[in-house]
Amino acid sequence: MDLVFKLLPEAVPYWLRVGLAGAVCAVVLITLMALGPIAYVYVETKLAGFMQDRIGPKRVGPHGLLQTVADALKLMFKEAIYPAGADKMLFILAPCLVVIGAFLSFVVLPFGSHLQTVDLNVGLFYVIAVSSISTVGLIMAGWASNNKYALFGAMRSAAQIVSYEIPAVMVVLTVVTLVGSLSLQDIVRGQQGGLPHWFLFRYFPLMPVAFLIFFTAGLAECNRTPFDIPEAESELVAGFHTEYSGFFFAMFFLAEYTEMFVVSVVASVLFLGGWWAPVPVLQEIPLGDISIGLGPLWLVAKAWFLVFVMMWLRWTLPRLRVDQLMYVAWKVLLPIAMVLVVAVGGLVLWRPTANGFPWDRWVGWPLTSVLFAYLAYMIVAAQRWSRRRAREMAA
Amino acid sequence: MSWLGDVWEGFSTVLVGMNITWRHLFVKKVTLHYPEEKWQLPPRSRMRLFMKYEDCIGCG
Repeated sequence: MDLVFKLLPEAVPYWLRVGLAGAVCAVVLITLMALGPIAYVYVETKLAGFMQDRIGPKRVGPHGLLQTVADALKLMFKEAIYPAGADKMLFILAPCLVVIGAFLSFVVLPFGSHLQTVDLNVGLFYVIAVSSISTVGLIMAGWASNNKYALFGAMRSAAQIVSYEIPAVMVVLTVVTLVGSLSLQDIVRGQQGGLPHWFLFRYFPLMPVAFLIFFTAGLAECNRTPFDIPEAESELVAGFHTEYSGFFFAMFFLAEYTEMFVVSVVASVLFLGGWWAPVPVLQEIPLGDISIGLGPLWLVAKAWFLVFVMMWLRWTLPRLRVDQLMYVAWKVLLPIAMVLVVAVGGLVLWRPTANGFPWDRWVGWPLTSVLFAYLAYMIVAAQRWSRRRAREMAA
Repeated sequence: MSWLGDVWEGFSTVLVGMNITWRHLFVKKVTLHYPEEKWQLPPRSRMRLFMKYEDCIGCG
């Protein structure tokens, strides 16, 4: 926002400059937010197909690329139906609130060293606070629908999000103790120096666990599949959005996918070095006097990788039972998160100047390269495996 | 300590499942693109049933 603000001439009155700069940022972000889910839904349907040995959408456009566009258009032109006995005002307000809750976090996401709408000094706190607004929207949706299943879904989502917010915040606290700041920009700057300096590899066995806890809790907060009991279609019809149709239904979809992206961006900012490249050389392309920064690309690449992992998990794991869900939150994630907070806090106090354990610099690269090498090996192994299976089927 | 064992078991089994789905991403797909591709039917398949009225002795 500062960039746009400085571009406007001095002659323009101050309030107009602030307003225009804000409006420009809002338009850019809303466009991003509205177009992102079209891509995610396409990728998700394709991935779902591939993971089940199918090919997914194929007919609409080349490789089915226009399928989600067609779906979105269909949803927009459908009639919005209000159930009998619904509280119409709340019914309309609820999806708006959910979308707003998902969208507000975009304001502080640092896409680059200067590519950020506002660098709030309480950025992390703001993200956590604002992402909880959508819960209110979900409860409103469930209540206003005048439908038992919708209300069940809403209550479940409230219970779930309240439970999972706590381990998530606890784990965020470890990162905050490491940096000493809540500003997302400061958190990213604290991880300068390539992949071994990312917080994921700080205090080696501790921070990876913190990352896993944050990721799991984030997954639960987006109501994604292993944790999708609020909209469990085989138990609750469709949970809180049972009664929604047309554009309002599309808004819930939009909010879900936006929230996935926001959680992934926050996870990559906290643990995966934000807009820093894994190797400092790749941070920018030098072109004589000026250089093109690749920061936003790196951040988006990391976030999309995490979104991919979320989709991957969705097509891997079955849905949890309600009691299992609560067990995971309160008896597994929360105790570990508390131990982490105490341990990391103690370590930071004990060695205030040192950067983590002595072996921290040496684990980052081997671990990531082993991980990616294994994934690459599985590509070859999968083809061999499928050929062998085909031979066995033929015989 | 069985609690830690449970947690580890839960985590590692998730990895096992993820490994399986990752492998299936690269497996040959079984989809038959119907109107363009069709199954090779067995030679004596009856396909769609029809009746020649002149040859029919079913009901006089």
